[in-house]
Parts: sequence; C-alpha cells; structure tokens
Amino acid sequence: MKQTQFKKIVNDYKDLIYNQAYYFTSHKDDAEDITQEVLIKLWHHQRNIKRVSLKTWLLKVTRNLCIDYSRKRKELFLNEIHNDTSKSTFIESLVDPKLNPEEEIISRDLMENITHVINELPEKIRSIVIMRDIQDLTYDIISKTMGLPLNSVKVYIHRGRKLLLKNLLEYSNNDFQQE
Amino acid sequence: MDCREFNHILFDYIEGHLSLKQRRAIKTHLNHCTKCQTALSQYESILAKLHRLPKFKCPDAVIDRVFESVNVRETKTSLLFEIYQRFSERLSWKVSFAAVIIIILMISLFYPRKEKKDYEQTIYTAEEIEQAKKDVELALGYFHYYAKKTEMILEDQVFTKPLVKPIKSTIKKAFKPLLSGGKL
Repeated sequence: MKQTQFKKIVNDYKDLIYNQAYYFTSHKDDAEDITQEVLIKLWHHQRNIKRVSLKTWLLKVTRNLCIDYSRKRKELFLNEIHNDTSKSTFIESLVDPKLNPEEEIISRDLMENITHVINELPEKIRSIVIMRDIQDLTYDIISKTMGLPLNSVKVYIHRGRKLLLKNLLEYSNNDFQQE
Repeated sequence: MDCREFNHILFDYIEGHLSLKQRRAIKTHLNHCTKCQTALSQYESILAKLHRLPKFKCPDAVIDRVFESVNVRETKTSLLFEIYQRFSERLSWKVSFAAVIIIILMISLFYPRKEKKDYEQTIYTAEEIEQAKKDVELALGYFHYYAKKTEMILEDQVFTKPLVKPIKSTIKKAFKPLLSGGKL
C-alpha cells in the first residue's frame, strides 16, 4: 500500500474507529489506544485485506480490541479508579456546551445514565446498538462485521433497545424524559 | 390488533418496514391503548437520544503516533506526481504506459524547433566539379559490375525454375537503368 493511500484510508476511517471504541469502552484513553492499534494493524496486514471489505475488517478488529480492553479493565479492577477521571471526562464530552446550567445538569445526568446502561449491555448487543443507533451503519455492514444473518442483527438491535429502555427507566427512577 | 401483536411488530414499525395496511392497524390500536402509546413514545425517545449522541473527531495526536510508528512521513511531492499517483491507482499499467507514449509524441511534435540556418553556399571550382564527376562515374561502374554479377548468380543458381520467370523479368527491369549506366 502506498503511503498516500494509507493516509487517505486513515483519514476516511479514523473517526469511525474512534467513536466505536469510545462508546464501547466509555474511556477516552482506551479509545485512543484502540484506534492507534487498529490503524497500525491495518498497515501491517494491508496485503491480506481486500479493498471491498476494508470497512468491515476495520470494524471487526476494533470490536475485538474493545472487548479485550473491556475485559482487561474488569480483570484489573480498575473501574473504580478510572470512574473518577477518565469516565467523568467522557460524560462531560457528551454534554452540550450550549445548555444553561440547569439544562446542563439534567443533560449530564441523562448522558451518564445512557452511557452506564450502554456499558451494561452484553458485548454483542452493545456493539450492534452502537453501530446502528449511534453510528448509523447499515444492517448489511453490521451483519458482515458481526458475522450474523440480517434477521439476527435486527433481533439483537430490538433486544438492545428494549434493554436500554428498561435499564434507563430503572436507573433514572422512571423519570425518563420523553421527547 | 392487540398489545401483544403490537409489541411483536414495534421494531418493524419504527424501522419503516411495514405495509400501509399494517401501519393503519397500529394507528387504530394506538388510538385507544395508552399503554402501547407510552411504550412507543419511550422507544422513540431512547432512539432519538442515541441518535443525538455526539460523533467525535479522532485526536490528531493519535494519528501522528500511528504515522510515526509505521514510519509514514510527510514528504513534499510535486503536484504532477500527486496527480499521477492518483490516476495510476485507478488506471492499469498499459493505459498509463500508453498515456506516457502519447505525451512524449505530443511534446516531440509540438515542441518549438529551432529554425534551420541557411547554409552558406559553397562555390566549387571547375577542377573540383570534374573530379567529382569522375568519382561518380567510378562508383557507378563498380555498382554496374556488382549488379551484373548478382544477375548472373541469380540466373544460374536461383531462377532455375520456370515459375520464377516473372520475378526474374521484374528484377531485370529494375536493374536495367543501372546496367545501362544510370540512363533511364
């Protein structure tokens, strides 16, 4: 792969990878490390990847690394430490800076709840919900990335949304704001 | 339609996969079922919130580290080279080669040529002209001798068969002016 070609691919897909990692792990540092690792892997495995399935390959590798990082965190019991810094930074980044103070507090709480419930979803459902409902990827891409039939993807999405809703209602004590 | 049926097709309703008939049936059910109305609005609300979650830009520092790690450097390349690289990625090598040949031909055809200088005419003396005449006659003589010898060899060794007679006469006709000392 030529350098210019690699740079173009990096520019085209860096945000996709980063957002996938960001929402899966809820940790900014992990998201950066994962993005870096995925792109370096791309450089080293370029010959094995067909141009047509590049996006799917990137999403698969990102997802696998996200799962690895999440499991490592759980194993090392670092959640409590990182909740104070990395995660609060993550929450702050989701809050709209244009809100007034009262709205900001409500928004921050809501975002914290949403990210908490996303994090509690099973890994498979979490990946699918992030890809569909946050990143707006097509069913076809999700199906190829996850290696699942289309109908299974739809079932998982529906299940994920219902779980999110159920957990969000419980988390916010049924004060879930409806639009 | 009852609440159980509604829950079963709620996903397809949100995704817009239902027929007009099914959507009408859902609307009819929702008109008199507050429980399903609440369920639908909550479902739509969670979706709206998920869609509104921000999409972040990957920090530049991450990309810089990637390029550093794989040793990809920013090199200044000329505009022509960059254009060539972009096109060469899409075109086969044959097309690229043909394009290069065409460009070379165009340059050679339309490149401004230097005007030919008028050569100064050299004036020869009468002696020089006479000497040149003798040299030409001598050269023609030699040529006549070798042409005759070639004719003999052809007649004796090559054109022995009657089939090659037309070729033989053609060659004789072609050599005739030379054999007769350059006179046509």
